[in-house]
Amino acid sequence: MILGCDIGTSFTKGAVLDGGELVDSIRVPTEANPDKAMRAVLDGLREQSKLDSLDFDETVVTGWGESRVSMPHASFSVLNSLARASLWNDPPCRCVLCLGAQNSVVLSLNDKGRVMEYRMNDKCASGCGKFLEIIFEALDISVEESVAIAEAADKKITLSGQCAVFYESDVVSLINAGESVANITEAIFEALTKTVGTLCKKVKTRGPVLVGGGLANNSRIVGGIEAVTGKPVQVFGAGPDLMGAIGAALSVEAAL
Amino acid sequence: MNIDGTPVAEDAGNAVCTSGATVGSTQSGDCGKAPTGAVEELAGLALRGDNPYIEDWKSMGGKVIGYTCSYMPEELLHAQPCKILPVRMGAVGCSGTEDADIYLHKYICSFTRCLLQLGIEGEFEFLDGMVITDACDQMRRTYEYWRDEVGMDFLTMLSVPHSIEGEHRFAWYLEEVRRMGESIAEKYGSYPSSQRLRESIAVYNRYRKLMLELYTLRSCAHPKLSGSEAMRIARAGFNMPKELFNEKLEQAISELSSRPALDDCRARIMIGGSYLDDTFLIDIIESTGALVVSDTLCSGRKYVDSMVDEEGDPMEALADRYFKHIACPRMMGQFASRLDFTRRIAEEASVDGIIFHRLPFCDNHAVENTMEGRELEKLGFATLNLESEYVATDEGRIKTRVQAFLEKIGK
Repeated sequence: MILGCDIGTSFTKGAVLDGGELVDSIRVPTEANPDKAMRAVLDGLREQSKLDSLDFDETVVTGWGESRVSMPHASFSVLNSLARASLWNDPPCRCVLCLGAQNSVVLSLNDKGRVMEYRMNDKCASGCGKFLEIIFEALDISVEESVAIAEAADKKITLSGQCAVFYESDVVSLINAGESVANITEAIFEALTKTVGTLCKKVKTRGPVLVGGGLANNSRIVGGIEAVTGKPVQVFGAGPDLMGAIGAALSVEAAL
Repeated sequence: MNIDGTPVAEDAGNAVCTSGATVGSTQSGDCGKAPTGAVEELAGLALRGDNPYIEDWKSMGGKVIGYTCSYMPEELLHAQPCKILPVRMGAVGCSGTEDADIYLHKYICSFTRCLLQLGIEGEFEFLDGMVITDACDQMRRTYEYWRDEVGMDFLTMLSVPHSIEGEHRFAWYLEEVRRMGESIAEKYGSYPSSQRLRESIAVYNRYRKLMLELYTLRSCAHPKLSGSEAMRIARAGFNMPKELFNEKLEQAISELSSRPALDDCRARIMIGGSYLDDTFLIDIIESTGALVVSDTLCSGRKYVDSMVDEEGDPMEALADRYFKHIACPRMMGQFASRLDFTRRIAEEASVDGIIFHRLPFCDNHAVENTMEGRELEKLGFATLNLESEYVATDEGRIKTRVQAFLEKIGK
């Protein structure tokens, strides 16, 4: 068994692979402490599936916090993890879009699974999960209810902001001007999907785009990306946010 | 409008040459609409391809060339025997820049990106060509995308020296202007005689004088029109043949003169900045009860200041006016003259305060506005520095600052 761990800026994801099959997974908050998050993953797995760290032939870590994990581990790059996971997905895809909490990345693969081209967001997080969290906090709604709320929108509003901070100031103005939460929420989704769409258009792609990362759980965002890019979109089947963790585990799985 | 519907370029040149002189005059009678007055017509005029004057111009075989900078001598286009309508390009109506952002990242001026976005969307299909200058690096670097992504049929670059000091710099600019004329000759087989150039200069001087009259109607003790109306009228002038605009503007001026004055305003404000043709800022200022009575915008008062000398060699006179008009902040060694200009306009309009606007990432205006503001404060003027995107949606943020400013100056 291989444990793949993806230490993201918001959540740390663990995926246990046995013979190329996903047998277990776990999510814990990273809370800016990769070491602690890594221990929480191991504790969690022990609790939920009686798996001990010694049961794993290898532990492979990827993601933002990888270099700050002190327990012995193998490491694998994020982009290559995503590439492995997209080839593992059924059906395999040659273009990946991963929407994390503070990073969004799009990459395209050649027939051998090698990353040919990729683009990440600029410093700004306006196409990412953290952005939605901040804005929804200002709107006083939850991420879960946001899709349903946006469906009630009856007016198109354009937001011009450069980044999450400016968007938040736009949103506060709109709230004060009496604009409905539904219309603002829809405008936020529109702005976010346009930003992500622009990123996608920077990379030449073939076939469907495989979407992973926490934001891929949101049907409005996935639909929006399909609309903006005009490309068919697939959601990573094994759980969108597990993409990096599964890919990391696959790096060894392939070697065994 | 569909560019495929226009005649082939070579034929159009000859065809219009014969009837060219009438392109302007035949339009005025049948522009389609029957607005109640010239002010209303101009202030509500559709822009770009939806504009009836541009449609008429094109249907008569005329060409339209867009440009983005006040250092582009329009008369040279206007005087072409193949009938070219110069249009100063604006991006009012742009709602997002998702396609332009593929090429120009978000830390580039939003006006530049909005223009390119509209270009990619096909909003500028009515243009036969475009002149870009290197006045600012951000606009200059869009040249390649207008060429490769929009596929502009005729595209030329006008290089402008960074200082007006010394004869050699003027010679450089004059050479650039001549070269632009030659590239048009090469493309359309058209080159204006000195006589035609003189006639165009006269048309444009009249335009500038009428625009200054319009400014006087705002800056006088009893203003006759709001800043928002004035900006919309000026914008119509960018999108119309100047002969027709001059006629309409003259009518508008007489209509405005007999209007009751807007006397009960809360404060008289002047705005300054770069290219601004969207009324959002003026609308916010005027929604507080203040009146925008003048401006030192690149697309406003600065654009119509200084006449072309009608004596002497017309090409040199033309280049002289465009090179030495009230300088853009990108010009070195001209701060004192720009400051004098701002001060003079502010005094002429007896303003209570000056609001400077800049687009994010416009370094030239960011520094200029701060420096002018600092000097003007020393001279006793109240100033406010604002920043917003070209498509501004954060109305609340701007309004809070404007209101605080009015309170600060005791209005």
